[in-house]
Amino acid sequence: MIQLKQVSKRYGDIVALDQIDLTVQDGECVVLIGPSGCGKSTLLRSINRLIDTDQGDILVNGQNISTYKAEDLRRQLGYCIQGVGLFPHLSVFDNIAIVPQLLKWDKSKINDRINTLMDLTGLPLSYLSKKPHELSGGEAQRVGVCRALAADPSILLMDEPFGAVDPMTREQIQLAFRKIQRELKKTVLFVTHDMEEAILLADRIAIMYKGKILSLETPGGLINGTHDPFVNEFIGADYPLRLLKRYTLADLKVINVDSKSQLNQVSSLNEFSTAKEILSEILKSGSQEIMIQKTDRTKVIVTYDALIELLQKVLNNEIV
Amino acid sequence: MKSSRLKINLGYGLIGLASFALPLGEFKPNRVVKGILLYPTDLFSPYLIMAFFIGILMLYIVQMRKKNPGVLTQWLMISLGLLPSLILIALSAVKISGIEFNPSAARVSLGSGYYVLLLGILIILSQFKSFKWFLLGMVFSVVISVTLNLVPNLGLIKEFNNVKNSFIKAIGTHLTLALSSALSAIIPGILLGYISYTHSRWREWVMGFVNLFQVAPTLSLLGLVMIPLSLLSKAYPILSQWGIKGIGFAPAFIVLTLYCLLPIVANAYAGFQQVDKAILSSAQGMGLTPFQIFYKVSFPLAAPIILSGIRTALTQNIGNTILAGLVGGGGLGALIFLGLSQAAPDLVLLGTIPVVIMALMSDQIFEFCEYKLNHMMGVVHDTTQTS
Repeated sequence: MIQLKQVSKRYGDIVALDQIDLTVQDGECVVLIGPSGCGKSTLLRSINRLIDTDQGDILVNGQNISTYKAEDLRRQLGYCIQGVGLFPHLSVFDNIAIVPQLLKWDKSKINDRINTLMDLTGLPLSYLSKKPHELSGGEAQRVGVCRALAADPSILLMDEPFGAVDPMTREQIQLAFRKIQRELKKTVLFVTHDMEEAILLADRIAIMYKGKILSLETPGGLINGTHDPFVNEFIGADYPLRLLKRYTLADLKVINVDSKSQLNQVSSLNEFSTAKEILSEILKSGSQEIMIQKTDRTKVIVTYDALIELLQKVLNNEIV
Repeated sequence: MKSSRLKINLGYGLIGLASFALPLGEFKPNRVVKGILLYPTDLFSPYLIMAFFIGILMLYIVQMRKKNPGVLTQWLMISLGLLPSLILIALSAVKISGIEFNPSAARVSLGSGYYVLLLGILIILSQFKSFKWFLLGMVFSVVISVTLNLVPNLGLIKEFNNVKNSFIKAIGTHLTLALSSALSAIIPGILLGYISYTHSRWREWVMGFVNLFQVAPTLSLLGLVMIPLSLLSKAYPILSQWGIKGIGFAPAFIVLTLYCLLPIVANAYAGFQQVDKAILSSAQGMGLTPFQIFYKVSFPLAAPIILSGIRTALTQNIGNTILAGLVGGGGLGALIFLGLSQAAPDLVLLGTIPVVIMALMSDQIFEFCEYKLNHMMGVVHDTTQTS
């Protein structure tokens, strides 16, 4: 659990953090989002004491961070930054093993841990001996996630970790990260400037502006907008449409059909497709419904009404 | 194409100049008197000179027509490569009549024609692919003619025989002085570079400090160091027992160390500077202590550039060590300055050749190390730009 109480930070005349109160519950992923210079990175970096705050208390797992030695604190917090920051002169193995080695884990424990992490992030073990410059952007990013998770920290701090990869790879790695997060239930504070990333990954989205948190809501909770004009402008009028990206076929009401039926034309989607993709396909087809074939070859029909129903459920807080 | 044509013409032009207008050597009845200039016609028979010109002409035609070298051309090239050592042998064997001289004191020095000819040959052969092997063969043939005592009357050999023992000792002293002073500049140099990187306010002071030594004339620097050292050793006689005196090893060592600082500090600073800030920030964020960041991240990543600074420092230091001869520090400089004071150019040459060879060797060894280090680091730096 991460707790911030009345945390402030000034740089000269500029207020970077203005009496921030924020609690990230155990196992929760809170995404900080806002325009450049809103203080989101400052907030993140003040938690692992890369930045010292002027006022207020920050508690990590109930203990005030000022009682830790800075290095000891940082070794307990997984940290992942934009551009990964892998050490180019060390192999993938040595990069991941840094923090466990600092914590003086024994060798077999480090080996086991690294094998587990490589498996978790879908990287082949043969990559362990590679140097970072031999990896693609997406692979390096995955190694970065492995490194942040290496010492099995309960808390992860992620500073625009997927900002520097191309859009296709970014989406893959976002989905991979969401899967990992659902499995491991880490407490995550995630900084991004990409709303779709926030929608996809967040349990709650914190929108920051000029050092203040203007809104702290679940992605579904933002669908009606807020009283704050900046937040409404920031999330955009098409927010409900973007929100559909968070949900997949599993969240929609479907009509099962006989798998032998050849009536409708089958779309190119499957059960991993997002609700946004399904809506696009319906719009494209010109009809009210489309047929989707799952990977187990069973077929279902999704109607336009099912999508409307999904958004209504989100509005009524029946789905987060 | 054009530049290679220009080079070829230049090479042949130099050979022509050397063969017609310049003396290949100078015969001296003893070390000091002015001697008799020796031209190609004094050394070789007209037929041999004729054959040489025909060969040169053939080679010129082949090269200008850009044909692949045939067997004949290859033999011509080999003969051309052997020419410098053949001329040495001929110079050494030259017979002079008409004047009286003492054979043991008489000597032959190399003349301007010899150097011009050598330059021309090198330019021509450098146009061929197998130039490296030719160069090796040329050096080898000269070494062979020296070791087989084929050139006993050469001034260089006479001087060598005169100072044989002190010559070998001088090389040893020279190397020790150059290496030890460069080595002792490494750690302070790297630390000063790191300090100027981490504390930008100190950078100007550090850089100014090391620049000061670089721009101050070496001689005045030696003089400046000698005074406090001699005062110190007078005040504390125990120091002079350890060899710390106003003259000798100590002042030379101190001045050379100071001289080595600039390239090492400048490169160390540049090396630390080019390490990606994101890497350092993630290292810090992962909980590495400042010292761990230095030795696990900053230093290894800056190492290739630091190494190229050490390379510059050592290579220039081998040359600078000559000045140790002025303050009684020994080394090859002692021979060179002896030669200068006695107006004996062969002695100067004898002292200079090993300095050049050592400097070239150190440069080559470091180039190899840099290449290896870059591969080990998995970082592709262009280290040639930084010195």
